[in-house]
Amino acid sequence: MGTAPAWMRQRIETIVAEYLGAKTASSAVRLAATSWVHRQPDELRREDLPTLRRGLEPMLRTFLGAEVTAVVLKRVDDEVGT
Amino acid sequence: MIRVGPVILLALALGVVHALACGFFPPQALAAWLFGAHLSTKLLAAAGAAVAYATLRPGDYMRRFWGTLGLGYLLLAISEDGLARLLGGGSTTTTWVGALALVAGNVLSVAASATIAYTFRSAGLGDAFGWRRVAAMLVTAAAAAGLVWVNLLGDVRAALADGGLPAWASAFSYACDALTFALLVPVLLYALRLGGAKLAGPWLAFSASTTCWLFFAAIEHLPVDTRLAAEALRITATLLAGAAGLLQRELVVEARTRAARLIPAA
Repeated sequence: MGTAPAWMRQRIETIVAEYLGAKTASSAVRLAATSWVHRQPDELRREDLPTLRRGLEPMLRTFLGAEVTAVVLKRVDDEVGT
Repeated sequence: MIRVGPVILLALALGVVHALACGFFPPQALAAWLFGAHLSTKLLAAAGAAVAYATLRPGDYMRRFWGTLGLGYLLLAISEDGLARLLGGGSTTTTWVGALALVAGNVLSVAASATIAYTFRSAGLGDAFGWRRVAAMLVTAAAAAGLVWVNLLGDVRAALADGGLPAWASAFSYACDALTFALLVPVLLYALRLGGAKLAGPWLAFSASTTCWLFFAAIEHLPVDTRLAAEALRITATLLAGAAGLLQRELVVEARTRAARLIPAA
C-alpha cells in the first residue's frame, strides 16, 4: 500500500482503466472527486471512499451495466478501502 | 477473452470471400446467393444484438442501444426483397412491407447510433473533449451529406416522377445514412479513447461496422464497377454489428465469473 497523496487516485484509476481506458478512468475519478467529495483527485483520503464510490457508480453503470460495475466497485473496496 | 482485432479481420475475410464467390455465380444463382447472404448476415446481426440485450440487466443504459440496434437489423432483414415478398403475399402489400421495414429499420439504426454517441454525456462526462468532437462531427456531417447527396437526389427525383413508395423509402434511408455517419464521429473518438480497455471490444467492433457502411455508401454508385468491393463491405459491416453484440456479452459474462469469486452473494 502506498502512502503518497496521489496513491488513492492512481489505484482507483488503474482499476477503472482496465474497463474504460486510462483517459476515461482519469476523467471519471476527477469528476467524482470534485463533484461528490469536493476535493482534487490527488487530495482524496481513504475516508472519502464511500462518497467517491457513490459518484463513480452512475458513470460506470452507464458504460458497463450493473453487473460489471458491481465487480469494479468491489475491487475498489477491496484494493483501496482496506 | 475474445480479442477485437482478430474478430474484425475474420469479418473482413468473410466479406472478401463472399465478394469473390459472387464473381463465380451465373446471374440466376447470384441473385439467390445475394439474397441468402444479405438476409442471413442481417439476421445474425440482429441475433448478436439480441444476445447483448439479454445479457445486460433491465435499466442498464447500453441495453437500449442493443435492443434498438437488434430491432433495426431485424427490420432491415424483413426489407430484403425476397422476404418482403414472402411476408407481403401480394405485390402492393409486398411494396408496403418492404418500404415500411426499410424506413423503420433505418430510423432505429440512427436511434441506436445516437444512443451510443451520447453515452459519455449520459454518464456525466459529456464535456470531456467538446470542441474537437463538435468540429469533427461538422466535418463528417458535411462529408456524409456529400456522399449521399447524389443518391438522395436521384431517389427524390425518381419518387417525384412516380417512383412511388420504394423510391421515397430509399431516399429516406440515404438521409438516415448521413445522420448515422455524423454520429459515427463521437462513437469512434470514444472507442479510440478506450484504448486496450475491456469495453473497447464491442465499441470498436461497432465503430468498424459503421465505418464499413460509410465506405459502402461511398463506393456503391461510383462510375466504375465496384459491386464486389461494395458486397465485401456490406457483409463485413453486418457481421461486425453482430460480433459487437457477442463481445458485449463476453464482457458481462467475464464480470459475472469474477463476481462469483469476489462477491459471494452475486
